[in-house]
Amino acid sequence: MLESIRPSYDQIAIATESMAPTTTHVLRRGNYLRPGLEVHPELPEILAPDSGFMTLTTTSPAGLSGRRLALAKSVTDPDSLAGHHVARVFVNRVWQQLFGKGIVETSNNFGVSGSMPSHPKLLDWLTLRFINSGWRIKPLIRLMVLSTTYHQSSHSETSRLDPQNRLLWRMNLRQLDSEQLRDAVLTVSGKLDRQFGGPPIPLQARPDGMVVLNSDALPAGTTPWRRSVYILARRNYHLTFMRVFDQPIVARNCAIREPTAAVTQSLALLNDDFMLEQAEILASRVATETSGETANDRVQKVWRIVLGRHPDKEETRLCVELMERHTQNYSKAERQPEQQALVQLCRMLLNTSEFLYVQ
Amino acid sequence: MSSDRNRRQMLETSALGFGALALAVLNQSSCTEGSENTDSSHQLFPARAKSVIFMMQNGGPGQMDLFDPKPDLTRFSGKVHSEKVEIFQPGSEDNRLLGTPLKFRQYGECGMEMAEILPHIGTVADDVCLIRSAWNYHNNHTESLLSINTGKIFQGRPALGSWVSYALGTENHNLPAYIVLRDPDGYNTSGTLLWQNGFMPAVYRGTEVSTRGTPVLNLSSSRPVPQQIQKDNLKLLAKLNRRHQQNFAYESALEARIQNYELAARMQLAASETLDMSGETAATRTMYGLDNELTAGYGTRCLMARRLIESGVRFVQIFPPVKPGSQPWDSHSDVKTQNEKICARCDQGSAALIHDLKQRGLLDSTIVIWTGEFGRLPVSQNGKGRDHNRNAFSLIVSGGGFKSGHVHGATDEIGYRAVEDRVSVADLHATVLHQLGIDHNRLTYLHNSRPETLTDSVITNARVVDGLVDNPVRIAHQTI
Repeated sequence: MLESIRPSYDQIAIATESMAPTTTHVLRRGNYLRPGLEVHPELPEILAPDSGFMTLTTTSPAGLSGRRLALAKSVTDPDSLAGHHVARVFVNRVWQQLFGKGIVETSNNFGVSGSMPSHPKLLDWLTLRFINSGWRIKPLIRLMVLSTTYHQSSHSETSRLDPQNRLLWRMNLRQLDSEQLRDAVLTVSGKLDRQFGGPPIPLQARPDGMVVLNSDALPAGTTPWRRSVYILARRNYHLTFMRVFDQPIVARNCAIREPTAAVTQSLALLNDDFMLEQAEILASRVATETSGETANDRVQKVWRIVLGRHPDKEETRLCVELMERHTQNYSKAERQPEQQALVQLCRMLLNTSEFLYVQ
Repeated sequence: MSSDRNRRQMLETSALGFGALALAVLNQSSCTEGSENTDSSHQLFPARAKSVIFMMQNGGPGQMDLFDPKPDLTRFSGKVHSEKVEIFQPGSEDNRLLGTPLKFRQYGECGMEMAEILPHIGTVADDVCLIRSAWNYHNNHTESLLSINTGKIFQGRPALGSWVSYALGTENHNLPAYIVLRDPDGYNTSGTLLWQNGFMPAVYRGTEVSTRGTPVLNLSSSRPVPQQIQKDNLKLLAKLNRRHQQNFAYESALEARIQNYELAARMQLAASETLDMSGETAATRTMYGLDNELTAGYGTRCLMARRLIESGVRFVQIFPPVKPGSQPWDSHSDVKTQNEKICARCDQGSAALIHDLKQRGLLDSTIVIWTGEFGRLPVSQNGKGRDHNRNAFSLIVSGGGFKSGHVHGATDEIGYRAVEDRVSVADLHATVLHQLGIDHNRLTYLHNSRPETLTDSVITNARVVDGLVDNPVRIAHQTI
């Protein structure tokens, strides 16, 4: 029965050799115009001290050199040093994803110039568990997120002993990544389109330089509110809203995203058309779900939706009073002053640090 | 060490990057790396300049038509050249030399020879260093534009302006450190690739400031809110954020974020003040060509650049008009008419900016660069045009301790190759950083575990060109 719900794919792109591999040379001083010694495919000595020449597989289909397969097999061989290293690096990446920093902080450098692991034995243990469970990722993630360490609060004073929290005596406060942020906004407005797969949402550059979704050229049957991973990102051509929040450019590799707090981010949250649109949608949602109820109820509702908690007394008072003042100010010019006031409250809650960070 | 660095990085990447502490980091690391480091090799040079204006003249201005007279080329015009030149596009296969149809004359007390169609730049000849021996790495526009702006022909590296603002931050806390002024009608070739932050944080990306409409993206809203309501909104936001911050005393990014909302409001004011040119005199406006339709667009950007530098912005990049083409100096079809057209648009504003900076006492501390991405071939393309040439081009640098009334280097007798005192793009970058007080080998950004530099001198052999500057500071370099 499980087989019947397994997703199926019509086509899968794979890389293959179109011609016999060319010879490879050491490039002197990195210059491709100055080829040096010819070299043969082999793992770095540190990963395969005794293997000598990498054994090319004999099982490759006729006509192919089998180099890719040989490489894939040797770096995933649980009995080899290379396999262990790859597993460690992978486990560390998963940890980094969940905790904000890897056990080895320099997640793309496990060499002598990289940093030492903060919890070496933990990394060993997780790596063995990972290998022994058949390199299955979900059990690894489950193990991590069910840990007491992961369940810690991020509320804390500063600490002189370990200000950087390398030993994880508290949870790290984590800023949402660009895609997470956009998805979070869509989630609270109720518009997030969770449809799986399909062609990307195209972009267009406005004359003023802003890169926005090309709503006129959406693939059939899609909405502009799909999850952010489905938005086109081509080399340096990214949605401005996401680039402002440090979405890495595809032209460079990115092992870890370093969050920043640039003023352009505040400007985008305050004024970007996407944010204004979503705040209005959120306000309509709240108004519908609290129709006939009091301003106080609406404040409770919008806090629960946006920040996942009830406001305390003081927070409630601040918000209710803001809406009252706004309603009065809007009453001359706007037909729905109360609704406009609610839109403003929604806008501000979407701008809070509490919304932007995972506690 | 790494935790210390992280805190610094946080400061650097906050707000507009004006907390940039890269130099402090540099100093620190070179002090602590060697335990007995008592020599002064880590010390930075005294800075001659503190800001940069980069006038990108994209398309490839022809050196032998504008800056580098070649009598021999004229004499042998029409003859088939003995050496087959490196061509990029079709049309030059005959390999026939083409003497310039444009006339040269001497300018200034120094007698610098430049084309007659550059009468305004001619007036500042005594204030500029003309480099006739520059060369670049690639014959296509995008690759060469990338290398002159970001150091390499590949995409994804931070621009010169990113490196400079990473190192020095800005003195104006209400405006971005690195500002780009392009034609509001569109992008030049390669567009935003040329002011990207690459592997650096987004705060080091060049910020486009428009001379028309909203100056900075998202600075104002498309659905404006009454001022009183916005003020009230921001007050609530600050209160909520302060309450939230109390639980996370260790996280300084939260403070930066709170201040950024105040900064956003100040920026709105600062941008409109800087853009408001009503305070400029009629004489100034005329000098920049604002009263002439042909020169007004580019002239406005030049005048804007002066105002930005005056207000403490670190790095300003100016782009030429995008009409009639997005690479206006690309004279493939007719070097005479094409050069005349673009000179008529860009000559006056360029010169006015140098002149204006000088009369305000800003030229000493501002490096002004006027350059294309490559030069052009000595042979004709389809009769009257010229194809791209990476092996030689001319450029102008002014101010910031660069020599004035000076010609540096030379090309061969037909202007095909830079032969004397060659200056690579990496050399140019190294020298610009040097004048800003930065050792190009020590200004690093750790990316994928490699300490990246702008010049990557291990590969490019970049060096500071002493011959370009007055009284070069000599400090024994550590070999890297």
